[in-house]
Amino acid sequence: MKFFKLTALSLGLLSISFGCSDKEFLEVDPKGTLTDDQLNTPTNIDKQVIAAYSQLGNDVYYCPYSSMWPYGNIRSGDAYKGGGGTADVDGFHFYETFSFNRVDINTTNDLWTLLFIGVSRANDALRRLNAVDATAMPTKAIRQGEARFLRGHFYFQLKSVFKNVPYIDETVPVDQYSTVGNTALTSDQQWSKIADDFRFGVANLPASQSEIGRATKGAAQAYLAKTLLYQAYVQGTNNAVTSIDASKLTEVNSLCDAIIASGKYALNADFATNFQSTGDNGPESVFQIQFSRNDGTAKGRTQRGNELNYPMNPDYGCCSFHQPSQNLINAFKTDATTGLPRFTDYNTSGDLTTAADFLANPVDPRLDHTVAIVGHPFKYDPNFVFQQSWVRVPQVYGYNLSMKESVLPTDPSFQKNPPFMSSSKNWNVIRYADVLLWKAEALIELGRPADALPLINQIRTRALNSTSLLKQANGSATSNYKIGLYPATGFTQSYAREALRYERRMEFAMEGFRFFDLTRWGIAATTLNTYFAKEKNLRQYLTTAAFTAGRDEYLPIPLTQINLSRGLYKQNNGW
Amino acid sequence: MNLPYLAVVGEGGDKYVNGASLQNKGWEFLLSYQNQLKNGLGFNITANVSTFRNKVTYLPDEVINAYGGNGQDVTRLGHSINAVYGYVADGLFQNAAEVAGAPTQVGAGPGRIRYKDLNGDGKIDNFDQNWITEAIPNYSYGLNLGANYKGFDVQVFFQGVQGLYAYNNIKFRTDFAGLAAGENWGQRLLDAWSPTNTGSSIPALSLINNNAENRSSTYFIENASYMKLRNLQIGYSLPTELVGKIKLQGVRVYVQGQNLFTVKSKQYTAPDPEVTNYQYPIPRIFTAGLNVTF
Repeated sequence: MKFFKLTALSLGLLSISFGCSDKEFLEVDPKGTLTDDQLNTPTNIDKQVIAAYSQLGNDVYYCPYSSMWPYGNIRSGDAYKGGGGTADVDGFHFYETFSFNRVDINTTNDLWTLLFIGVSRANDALRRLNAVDATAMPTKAIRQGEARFLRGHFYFQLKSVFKNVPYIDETVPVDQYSTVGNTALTSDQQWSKIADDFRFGVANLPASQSEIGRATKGAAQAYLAKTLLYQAYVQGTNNAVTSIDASKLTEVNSLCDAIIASGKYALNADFATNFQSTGDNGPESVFQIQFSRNDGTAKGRTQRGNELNYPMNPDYGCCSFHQPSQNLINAFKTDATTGLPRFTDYNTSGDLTTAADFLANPVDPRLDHTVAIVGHPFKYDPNFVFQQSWVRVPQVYGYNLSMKESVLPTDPSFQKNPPFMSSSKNWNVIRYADVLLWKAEALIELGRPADALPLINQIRTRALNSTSLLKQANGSATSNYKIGLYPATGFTQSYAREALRYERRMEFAMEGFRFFDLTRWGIAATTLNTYFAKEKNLRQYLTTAAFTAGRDEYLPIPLTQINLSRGLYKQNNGW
Repeated sequence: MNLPYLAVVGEGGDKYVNGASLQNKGWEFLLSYQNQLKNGLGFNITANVSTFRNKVTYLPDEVINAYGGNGQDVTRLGHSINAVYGYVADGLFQNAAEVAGAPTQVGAGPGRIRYKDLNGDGKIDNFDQNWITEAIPNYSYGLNLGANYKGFDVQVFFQGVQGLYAYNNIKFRTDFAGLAAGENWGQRLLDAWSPTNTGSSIPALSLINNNAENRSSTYFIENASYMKLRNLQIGYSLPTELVGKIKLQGVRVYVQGQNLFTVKSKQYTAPDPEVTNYQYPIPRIFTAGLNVTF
């Protein structure tokens, strides 16, 4: 009996061990995750496209890659970093002063990483879209256009900051990503790749989408025009502009014409509408990043990239970043007779600081839409007057704040994210005024300044008509507004070029474009060093600031990425 | 371990794997003696000493550069799991002439930390780093002493480590004004370098960290050797005849002190050599107690 039991037990154990020889028995799918196949249904592919859209708005305060304020504004002479002192988010201080910027600053690595997350989400959606059958998913071509639009956007941001980035599309297998270097394509070839994405969008996107916020044909045309405009200014290895490609400019011109002719877009009657939550998705918006509140989430989906930029008064409370420079404020001065900007002496004819200064000296109305000034209403509310106590460290950064990204505390879009403030107001990636000024820029560089004149004057006319909200409590105008149109006589190519560049500064101040404009035009070094020479007398921390031409036009490739790429990525010129 | 990964991979690139292989080698020695003298005095002595060496012997290829090293050819293999990779701090620049004559260093200036050009290429960068400490003690030891006589008993325990060079993170807050923006500063800053106080080893006051002095460097490596009186207990047991009268087998009262004093290196600038990285401070504890046996 004992022998029998023993044998039965042994045989039983042996058969179980042989039965388990099938390896699949040991393979268990992880719980709580989706398999790759599950994501390939049309419904889920749609969701992957939405995931790519959502990365547009996943900014964090130390990496605002949608509003681009640290990369586009504080490096341009338009704004100071602000905050609690030079060491507050010191990565941005090194961007602002250039001279102590290094290859191993964390915020640079963060920017690279977050933008590439956007690229990888778009690529993932495209991979699935390419594989799905158009009969199973009728929106396939449209969604492909959208995903490529998004990829183009993220690569545009990456390229304008880093110049040479590894170009990876949806056909590259993920395990091959580490073999693609950032200099595998030339800078010009990288622009062409970005342009190709937008061309596909132009060919496949509808003129309008039922779901607002999705990319449209007009948005793709506009972004294509922007890409070609940047590409037209050919740069050498030391980042200087060596030539201008007229064929690209011609295409920019015709693309802008198509957008204008579509009749879909128009300038808002009042400049202010672009910076108010009531202006979301209005006629001037060509492509906006959508944000929301009271949408089922705890704190909404708000523009976190700007959440440091609110004043210090009790209605808000933090953190006083993104402070306009005195140079920018002075730039809004206009000539008392002509109402035209003062190209040569705006910064050498006295600083405008007190409320009385702005009444005594004529200024462009766009000043009070852009810059918060002591004694002036904040965000158009005459009963909410900006005070000296609303800035944090005036002895370092002065007494002004940026207003375009902010909202009133009573605004329905306002959202506190303690200790920071935010809002669900949408953010313009492209607004129609940009399209008009791109066309003007292309025409001027093509030698047709007379054709650019009406476009610049159209923008100025709108500014002229944007004073109705700029009133104090007693009903009188906040400042002495005077803005005039450029006359046709004397509008030579070189004069027009200066006028266009000045107009872009007035129209888009604090919107994240200025530094990239300066680099595109090849005037970053002279502009910044001239700016530092005078501004350091007001802002002592700028004494050690200096722009190194050939190097500082672009941020360095993050050292962490060069190391992780085993030395495959090449560092940018001068770093 | 969670592998850091190339950013172009996007999200989902991190995953946990069984990673490093370690090797520990060492020895331990313990000697104990106890005796009781004719007059009733009993005593015991126990001493122990131990030492070990730790080495990382294997790391997966994907992460070999992510745990210290210069990110390219120098890695943690062969060094301890606690080892620190960093720059070599070489005193402070005293004047502009010294700065001009030194290898190119972004942020250099009088009163700022000078870093050594380890590879001799004339500039201070990522490749001027080395393994600056293994952060393993040469040896650790303990000593236990006890005696008892006529109902009194006493037990003392000393413990220490010797030859440990650790990374003192507290120096970030005691020696710098520009590293922890908005926080209180340490008293040591009052002795910071200035043109009238050139003998100081503490960098000149600065609100902005142009010289990246938060970088891993020998400035923060200090001798963290110590010897501590861990435990001292003095007790008295009442005579058994006395306690027998109240039907008890034994009554003992005692007082005890823990972490009574620390002997540490003069080089160590923070209060406790065991608290180098924001661990909870170790308190001195006094206890009194009563043992009743029945």
